Amino acid sequence: MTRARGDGGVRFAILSAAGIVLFPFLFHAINGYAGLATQILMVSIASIGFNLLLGYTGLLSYGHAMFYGGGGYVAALLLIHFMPDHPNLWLAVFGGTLAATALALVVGALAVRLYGIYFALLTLAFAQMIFFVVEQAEGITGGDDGIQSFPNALLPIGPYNIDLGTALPAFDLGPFGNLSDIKLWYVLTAVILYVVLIGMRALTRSQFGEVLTAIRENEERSSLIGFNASAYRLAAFAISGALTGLSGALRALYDGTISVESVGIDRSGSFVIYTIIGGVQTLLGPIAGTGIIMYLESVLSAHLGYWRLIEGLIFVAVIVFLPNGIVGTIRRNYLARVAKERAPSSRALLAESLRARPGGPTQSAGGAEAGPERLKND
Amino acid sequence: MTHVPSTSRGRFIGGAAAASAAAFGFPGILSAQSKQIVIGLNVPQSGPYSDQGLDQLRAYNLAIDQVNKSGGIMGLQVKASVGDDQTKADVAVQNAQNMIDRDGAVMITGGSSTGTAVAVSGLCQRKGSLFMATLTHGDDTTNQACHKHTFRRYNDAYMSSQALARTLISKYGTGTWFHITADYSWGWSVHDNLAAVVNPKGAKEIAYVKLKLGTTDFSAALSQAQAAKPDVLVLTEFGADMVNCLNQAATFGLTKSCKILVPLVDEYMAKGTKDNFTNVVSTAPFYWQYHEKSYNEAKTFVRAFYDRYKTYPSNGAECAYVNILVYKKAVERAQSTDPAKLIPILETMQWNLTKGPEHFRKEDHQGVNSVLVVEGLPEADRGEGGFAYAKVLEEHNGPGVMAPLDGLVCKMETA
Amino acid sequence: MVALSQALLNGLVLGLIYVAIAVGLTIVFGTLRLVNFAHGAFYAIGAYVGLVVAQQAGLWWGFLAAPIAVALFAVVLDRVLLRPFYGKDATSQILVTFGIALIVEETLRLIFGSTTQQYPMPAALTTSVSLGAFVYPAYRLLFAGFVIVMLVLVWLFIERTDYGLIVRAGVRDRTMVQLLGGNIRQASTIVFALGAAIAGLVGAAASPIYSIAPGTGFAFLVPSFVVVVVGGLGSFWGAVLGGILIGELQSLTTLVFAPGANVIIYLCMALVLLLRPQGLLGESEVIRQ
Repeated sequence: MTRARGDGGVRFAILSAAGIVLFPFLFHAINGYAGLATQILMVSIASIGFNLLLGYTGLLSYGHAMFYGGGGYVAALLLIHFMPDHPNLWLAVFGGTLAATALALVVGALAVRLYGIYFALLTLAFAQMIFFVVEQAEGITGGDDGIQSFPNALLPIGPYNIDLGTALPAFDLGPFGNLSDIKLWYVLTAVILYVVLIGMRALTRSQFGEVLTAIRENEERSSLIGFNASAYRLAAFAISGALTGLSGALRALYDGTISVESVGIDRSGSFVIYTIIGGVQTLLGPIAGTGIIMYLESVLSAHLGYWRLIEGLIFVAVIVFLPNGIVGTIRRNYLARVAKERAPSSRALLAESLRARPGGPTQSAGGAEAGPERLKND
Repeated sequence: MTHVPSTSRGRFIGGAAAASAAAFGFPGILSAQSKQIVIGLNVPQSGPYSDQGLDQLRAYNLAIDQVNKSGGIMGLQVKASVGDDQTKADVAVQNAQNMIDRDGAVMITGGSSTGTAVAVSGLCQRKGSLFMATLTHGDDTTNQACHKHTFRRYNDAYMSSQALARTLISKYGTGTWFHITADYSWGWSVHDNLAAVVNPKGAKEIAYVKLKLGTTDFSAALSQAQAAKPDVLVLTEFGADMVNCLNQAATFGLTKSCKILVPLVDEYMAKGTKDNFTNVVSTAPFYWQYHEKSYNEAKTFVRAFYDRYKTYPSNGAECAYVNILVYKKAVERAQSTDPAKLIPILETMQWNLTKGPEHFRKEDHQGVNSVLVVEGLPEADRGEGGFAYAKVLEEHNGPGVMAPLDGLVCKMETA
Repeated sequence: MVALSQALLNGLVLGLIYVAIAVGLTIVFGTLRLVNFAHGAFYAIGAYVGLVVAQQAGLWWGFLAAPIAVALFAVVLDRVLLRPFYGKDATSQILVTFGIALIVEETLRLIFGSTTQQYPMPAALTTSVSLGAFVYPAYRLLFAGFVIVMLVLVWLFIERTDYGLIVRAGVRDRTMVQLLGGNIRQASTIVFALGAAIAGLVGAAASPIYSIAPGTGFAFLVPSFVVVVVGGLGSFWGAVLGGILIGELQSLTTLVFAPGANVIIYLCMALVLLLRPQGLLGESEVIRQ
């Protein structure tokens, strides 16, 4: 039986759009502010990319900051050295993303032959190398001080050069702030995130996504069927790196500053934290995790010196008690009720049979794909 | 089993996330109301400069409480929004952004490293907020990276180097100099300024070793220094880094075998290095024991600080304190917190508080005030809990040690 | 020549710290199949416990208290949280131990503050000794000797005791050991506590050299992973060899080309992972799991 038409794609598209549009206003009501909302969306792009690798491919990278910061530095340097008079945002961001993708292909080609801890450590090694090189190459990167002033990039659309710092027209929304809190930066980021989100949804539901999941669950069997595991992993790694680089480039241009911490180990760790807390193997989990933690960081840090401790406690609590993350757990519980109503598609059955073999060299990270009838095979 | 149709899930989840976030959300305590003036205190509370940052915080709180007790600024109470910049540029910028956007801060102050100061300076310029830098010492803050919205009262590296060199040049000018330097804008600024003064007079620089901020193990550099047997060992390190470096230098025998210069010092660094700081020559913009003898306002400040905290103020604390008082004076003159109105006033106003007449230069917004050259006392001779750490060798007047205007890279009209 | 000797000595001291941390890390991986990102936390706890006790009762009591406190903490951690994660996939282990490391670091920050602290040192130990052409800090030499003695004791434990036998066998084939009736559970806990205690002891003993801050543990952990990889996950001698090698490499590179000192050790790690993932002295069976 073919998949029933309307697997929810249209609903997802509409509701996600609504969520992104309403987010800054709801955020304002809980003491967030539009600039932070913009930053959350930007970092979420990286988290979504990171989740493709961790949640769907089962690979934990401990060095993703090299793509994030790398994309940022390249974008900044392009603006300063090649476009000081006509700072073009498209080119800068594109350049940053391209650089991150290239790096991901190189590192990925080397790394995807390794498993588990070895993969993580290799990504860590590369990230650390890049960190120290960036730290030492003061002439180019500013060393510890970073790059602090770059030209304000403009967005050329048609005959216009748009300054993204422009605010929307003023319109008071009471406790939800004012429309003019929103700058065009938010609009641009929202559009990009939306495209990424829809694209990622399609990707994970496509055959590519199915194969990734199959490889994650049982590599031996997948290669017997004829899938080149390394190639798929590399593709996932490259896409993940590209999205992270895109995120970093946007963030650098938005902040107007970039420093060596953006390629540092804490930044790499942050993607892990956001994604795990939000929920691996979900689409919205990474966004939720990023938003929750970045919000807490901003709000809590004003009142509590020890907010990072709380972050750590939440993280461990989620790993131990909610292995599917916050979004994943909500979805899973909801699904338990809905699952009985739906019949499986043939493609799903195939994927299911690939997954059904207990034990395997690469177990998934946060538990099973949602499914109440599945045996726990751990 | 079908794939998960995550449709209305999206909305539900979004709602759940928002709801849980709202549970954490505090009501707007630091709201951007015009009923109060919010000042952002962006200081290092962790990392190598945390002692200095925490002392600044004490001084800020003292100043703000005093200002509020006497009616606030323009009748409005002052509220502080505090952040820990961890001596990291990106954290400092994020804090400043939070303070301005989330809390409605109209002025940002604080800081203890030139790297973070430059970063925050850029952010404040972009956001149109005033930045009164504290304890940043590298030239960059008011030269290479100068901005209209940024004012720096603390001595800069040029001033300190001039003062240091003039006091010492007769004794050490023609010796060999070995530099161990913090590897970021401040360290480079100090080294370059010192070298520019002493090298033409015959000093031979035999090494320029650079170590990253936060280095805890100086053995490699100190071994090299020991092997080189210089006449002068310059440790351009600050905060906890300087404490580690000097203490380790002592274990390598260097405090006995050469003259040590620490271009900038404060009370906590002297305390942390105890007897190893004996006879080390350094500079400081303010020294409580010295200035309270000659300036009433300094005495009031030192006594008030001691009464409240049972400890004496470091020179960074004094800078923080005076920054608040100067800000208050400027705002009341302008009758506004709008930087556009404040900048011209700050550029021309003068004050005489803790160390005599002072003002900001309009060309670069650098504070014109005195530099002290000090020499460390043996621990046994230090009183007052170890805070009376030095004897003053010479006081150099501000105008005499300022960087010449024609050498400035800063163009304030476009900064 | 003088510069080279000094660099070699500095590298030895640094290397021995790495060895001491890596030994615990590698043994725990070998027997428990646990990738412990919280190992740096043991170092940090040892440093702070040592500091507190030393401030009250003197240096040596601090050195005694540190490993004991850390071992206790490790046992609690093992019983309460980590048991379910032994033998599980590396990703889950990395995640949970990373979370624990975060919690420990932030708790230390909460209790002790973020400012860097100095270890109270008796004056006799802050002197320098003459080594012919140059002088060298006495404490560093003492420390090196101390770590060597400690390593010898650990080695004896592994080679000469029953628990050690189980450890060695467990590295080779865990299932077989269980089938043969070896009490691998108990041995596991002891091994875990031992590895932690070593890290804690070194944390206290190295503090006079490196000073103490909440982030110090994690800062030492990452290079220790380099050592473990280079030496070989699961191999005691691998940790020793790897530690000395990496320490010397860092020190000598600092002498020759200082900016490259940190990059080169991660380059080594990457090369080993790509070309010989079991490390110099590791068992190739280990990586198949």
